[in-house]
Amino acid sequence: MQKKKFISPLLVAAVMSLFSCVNNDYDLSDIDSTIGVNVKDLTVPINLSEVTLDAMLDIDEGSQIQKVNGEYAVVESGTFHSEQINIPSFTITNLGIDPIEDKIGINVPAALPSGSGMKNRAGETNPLFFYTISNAQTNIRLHEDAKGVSDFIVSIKEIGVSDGKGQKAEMKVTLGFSGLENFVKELEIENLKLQFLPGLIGTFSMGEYDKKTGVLNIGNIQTAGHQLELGIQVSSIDSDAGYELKDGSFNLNKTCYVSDGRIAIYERNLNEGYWDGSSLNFAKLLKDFPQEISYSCRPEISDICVTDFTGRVKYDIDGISINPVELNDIPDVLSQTGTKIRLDNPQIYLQLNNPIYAKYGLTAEANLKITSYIGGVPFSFSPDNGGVDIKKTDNKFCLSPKKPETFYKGDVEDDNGGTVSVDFTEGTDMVSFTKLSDVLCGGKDIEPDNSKLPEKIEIDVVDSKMAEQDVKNLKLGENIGSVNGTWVFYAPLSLTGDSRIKYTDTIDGWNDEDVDAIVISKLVINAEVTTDIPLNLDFTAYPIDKDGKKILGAEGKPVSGTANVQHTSDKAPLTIEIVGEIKHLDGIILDAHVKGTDENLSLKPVQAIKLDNVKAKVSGTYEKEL
Amino acid sequence: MAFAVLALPSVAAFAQNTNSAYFTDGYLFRHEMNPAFGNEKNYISVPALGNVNFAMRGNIGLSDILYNVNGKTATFMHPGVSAGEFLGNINDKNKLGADVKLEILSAGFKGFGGYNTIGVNVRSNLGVTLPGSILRLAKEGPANSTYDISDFNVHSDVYAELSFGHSRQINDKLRVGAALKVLLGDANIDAEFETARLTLGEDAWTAVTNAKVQASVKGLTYEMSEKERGPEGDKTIHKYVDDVDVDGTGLNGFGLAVDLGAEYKLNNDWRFSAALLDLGFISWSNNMVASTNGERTFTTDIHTFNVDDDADNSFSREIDRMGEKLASLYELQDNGDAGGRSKMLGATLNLGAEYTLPAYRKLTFGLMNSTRIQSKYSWTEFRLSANVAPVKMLSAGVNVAAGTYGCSLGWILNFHPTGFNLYLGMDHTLGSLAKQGVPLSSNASVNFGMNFPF
Repeated sequence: MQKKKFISPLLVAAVMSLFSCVNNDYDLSDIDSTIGVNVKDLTVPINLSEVTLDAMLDIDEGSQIQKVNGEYAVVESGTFHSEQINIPSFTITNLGIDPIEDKIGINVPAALPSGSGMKNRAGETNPLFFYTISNAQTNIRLHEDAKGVSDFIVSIKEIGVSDGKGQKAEMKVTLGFSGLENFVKELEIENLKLQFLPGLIGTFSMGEYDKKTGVLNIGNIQTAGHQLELGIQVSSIDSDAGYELKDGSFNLNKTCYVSDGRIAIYERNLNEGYWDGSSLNFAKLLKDFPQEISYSCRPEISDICVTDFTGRVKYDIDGISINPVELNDIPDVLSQTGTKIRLDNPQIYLQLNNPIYAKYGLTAEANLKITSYIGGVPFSFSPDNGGVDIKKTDNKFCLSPKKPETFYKGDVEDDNGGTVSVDFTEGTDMVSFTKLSDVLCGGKDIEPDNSKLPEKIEIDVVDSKMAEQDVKNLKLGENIGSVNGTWVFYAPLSLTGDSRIKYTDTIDGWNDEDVDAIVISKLVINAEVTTDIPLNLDFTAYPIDKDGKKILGAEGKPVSGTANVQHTSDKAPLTIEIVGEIKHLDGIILDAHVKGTDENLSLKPVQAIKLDNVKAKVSGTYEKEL
Repeated sequence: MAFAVLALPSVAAFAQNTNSAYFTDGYLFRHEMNPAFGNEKNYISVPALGNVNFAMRGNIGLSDILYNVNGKTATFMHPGVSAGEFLGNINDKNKLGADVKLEILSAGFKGFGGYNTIGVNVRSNLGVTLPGSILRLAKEGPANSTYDISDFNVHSDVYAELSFGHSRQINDKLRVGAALKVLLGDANIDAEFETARLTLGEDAWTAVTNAKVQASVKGLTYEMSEKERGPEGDKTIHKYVDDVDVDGTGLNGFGLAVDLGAEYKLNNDWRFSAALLDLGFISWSNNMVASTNGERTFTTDIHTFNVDDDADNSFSREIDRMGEKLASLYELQDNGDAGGRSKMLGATLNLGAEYTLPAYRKLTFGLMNSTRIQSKYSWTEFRLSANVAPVKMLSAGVNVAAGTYGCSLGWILNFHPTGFNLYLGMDHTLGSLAKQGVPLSSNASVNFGMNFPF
C-alpha cells in the first residue's frame, strides 16, 4: 500500500509530461512565406492638381505646334522672293531702206524771155527754170519680231528710244541732185517738204516737223554741194502716229518722200561761163541746160533701241516659291489615323512689297492655292476670291475664314537662318478664305477611319502677275526689283464641332515583382471633373499584361474602363469602372476619341482639366512569396 | 533593435513564483507567494538552484500565428488561411509576458516568535502588448476604417532584491506575515505608442503617432543616424535614433518594496489566505528618453499630385515627400537624460481558499486567484488545484487555470525527504510543440528547485 502511495504521484508527473507533444504540422525550418493581402472596396482618396494642356501636350520647343499669344497654333513661316521684274528692251535693227533714185525734169516758165538777156543778177524774183522734185517714195518699215519685243508690252503709246549706246537715235535723210554741177554753183531748193516718219520726238537739224503727219517742212534752202543732209536726233516716238504692237511684234510701215519742193535756177546761180560781161547768153544756156537731172533721196536710220515706253503693260511675276510645310513634328496625340481636324480660323499671313507700284504705280495680284496631301492624295483650297490684290508698295494680308481677334505678331526665319520680326497687327488687309478651315482635314472627302493630318501642305503663289494696265515711261531692260515677302501659316488649334482626334497610346513597363503579385478584381474611380478645354473626350483604358496583350475578362472580352469628359464649367461626375481579374499587369492601352465643340474656342496652354474628389475604389489581392 | 537588446537580460534570467505549489505541502517557497506562510522546517537553498522559475504568458501564441496549409507550415498571412480562422484566435488586446525569477540564495528559519526568511533574488519581467487591430489590418487588408494601434507597448524590468520576511501566528486562526525588500535596479525600459492611429478615410488617409521610449540603463546612449529624405532638390536631413549603445553595466537604481500576507483558518477544513506582493518602487538614476516629441501627423490630404513630370508636385516628387512625412512618424529623437525617475513595481495580489477533504485529509483542494497589477501588462488567473501528500516525503498537485492568458494545466511534484528537497512543476504545461521543440502556446512555465531543509 505504501509503495502504491509513493508511486502514484510519479505516475501523475509522468502523465503530465506527456501533455507536451510534438506537433509535426509545425515545422519552423520550412515555413511557407507566401502572403496574401486582400483589399475589398478600399477607397483611396487622391488629390490631383489641375492638368493643364501645357502639361498634357508637352510641346517641344521645336515642334510645329507652338504657343503663340497664349494659344496653341500650328505655325510655319518663311520668306519668298520673286525673280527680278524686268521688261526687256528691244532694238529695231537692220533697217533696210531703199533709197529713191529718180530723174526729175526741167521746167521752163512761159514768161522766160526768149533770146534776151537779163543782166540784173540781183533782185530777180523769178527763176529761169526749175526742176520739180518728184514724189517718188521709198518705204520705211520699222519692225521687231516677237522675240525681241516682250509679251508684257501690251500696247504702246510712246516709246523712248536711243541708239543703244546711250545716245539719242539718229536719223538722216540725204537729198542728192546730180547733173547741174557744171551749170550752177549752188542749188536753191524751194518749198521743200519731206514726208518722213510721223510721231518722232526729237531734234531736227532743219525745218519744222509735224509729229502727227510726219511732214518736215523745210521751206527754201540753199545747198552748195548739190545735196541736202537732214539730221534728226530722236528721243522718243509717239505711237499715235500709227505704230502697231501686236502679238509681240512692233511694226511701222511708212513711206518717205519729198512731198513738195523744187530746185529753182536763178541767174545768180549760174556759172560765169554763161555770162558775157553782164549779159547772159540765154540761148546757150537754154541749149546746154540738162532737161533732166538725177535725184536721190537716202533715208538712214540707225538701230533704234527702245528704252522705255508708255502704254499698257502686263507682267507675270515669276519665281515666287514657298517651301512645302512638312507636318512631321506634330505631337503623337494629333498625328494618328482617324484624326480629322477642322480648324475654326486658320490664317495665312503674307507680307510683301510691290516694287513696280513704288516706281510706276502699277498694281499686282496673286492667287493662292493651298494643297494638303493626306496619304499622298492632294486636296486644294483657294481664297474665296482667288487671291490678293497688291496695290501698295508694302502689303500685308491675312487670309482666313474670318477676321481673327488679333493679328499675328512674331518672328519668321529668314533665308540665312536668322529671324526677322513680322507684325501684322496694323495695316493688314483681310482676305476671306473660307475653305482654309479644311486644310488639315482634307475637306469632307476622307472617311473618318482613314483620315489623319496631312503629311504635307503646299502653299503655292499661282498666277502672280501685274494685270494689264497703263504705264508711263516704264524703263525697259531695267531691274525694277523683286517681290520679297514673308509668309506665316498660323493655325490656332481651335477645333470645330465636327473635328475628331483619335489617339491610341500604350503605357507599359509597370510590371515588376510586386506589381505582378497584384490581382485587381475591380477598380472604380469616381471624381468630379471641370474643364475649360474646349474638347469632349471619350477614352477607354485597356489593361495589358506582360506580353502586351489586352487582359481578357470572364467572357473572353478585354477588360476595359471607359470615361467621358465633356467641356463644362460645372462640376460633372466622372466614373471609370474596370471590372475583371487583372493579373500580371504591365500597363494600359489608352484609346481616346476627342471631339471638338461648337464653341470653336482655341486650345490654350492654360486650359486645364480639374478632377476633384478623386476616389479610387479598389478590390483585389496582393499575393507574393517573401 | 534597441528593444531586442534591452529585453535580452529579462529573457535570459529565470524565476517566478510557482502558483501550482501555493497549496502544496512541503513546498519551501510558499512564503514568496504569501509572506504569512511559514515552513515547518528551517531550510537553506542550493545557491542559484533553490527556486528557479521561468514563465511565459500570453494570449497569443505560435499556433495563432502559424498554420498548416496543405501540409506545410505557413504564416497567418498565407492566402490559404482564412481571415475568420485567424481572427478567431486573436484578441483585441494581445499580451505577451515573460517573468523570470532566480533565487540566488534563500534561507528560512524559525525565530523571533515566528518564521523568518532571507532571500537574494534576481528578477526580470517583460511585457508586450500588441493591439489586435494591427493584425486585423494585416490579415483582412486595409479598409476604410480607423485602426487604433496605440496599445503597442513594451516594458521590461531587471533588478535584484534582498528580502527579509517574517511571519507569525497571531492566534490559532490567523497568521500574518510581511517581507521587506531592498531593490537594486539594473535596467528598466518602457516603450510606448501613446498614440498610434491610422485612419483610412474616404476623403483622406491620416496617421497619427506619438511614441516614447524611456530607458534606465547604466551607460546607455542612443545612436543617431542621418538620412536625406524628400524629393530631389528639396531634400531635408533627418536625424533619428537608429540604435543604442550600452557602455558598461551596473547598478542603476535603488528601491524598496514590501510583501504583506495573511492566512485565516476557518476550521479544520477551510483555510483562506491573501497576500499583496511587491508593493514598492525603484528609483532609477537615469532616464534616457527617445521620443517623437508629441504627436506627429501624416495626412494624404495635403499632398496634391500633378501629372506634369516637371511640376514641383509631380507624382514622383510628391511620393518622395509622402515618404519623408511617413518616415517622420516613427523617427525618434534623442532627448538625452531626463534625470532620475521612480517607478512603481508591478504588484501581485494572491487570494487563496483551501479545502481539506475530511474523508481523506491528505487530499486538499485549492482555489487561487493571482492578479498582476501593472497597468497595461496586468493579468489575472484563477487556479483550481487538487493537492495530495500521501507520504511525508512527497507531495504533489495538479491544477487547471483560466485567466487573461487562457486556460492551462499545471502540476507540481515536491520530493522532500528529510534534509533534502527537490521539486519540479509547471504552472502551464508546454502542450504542443513545433518540430523544433518550440511551444506553440505562449503560456509555459518551468519551475524547479533544490534545497536543504533542516
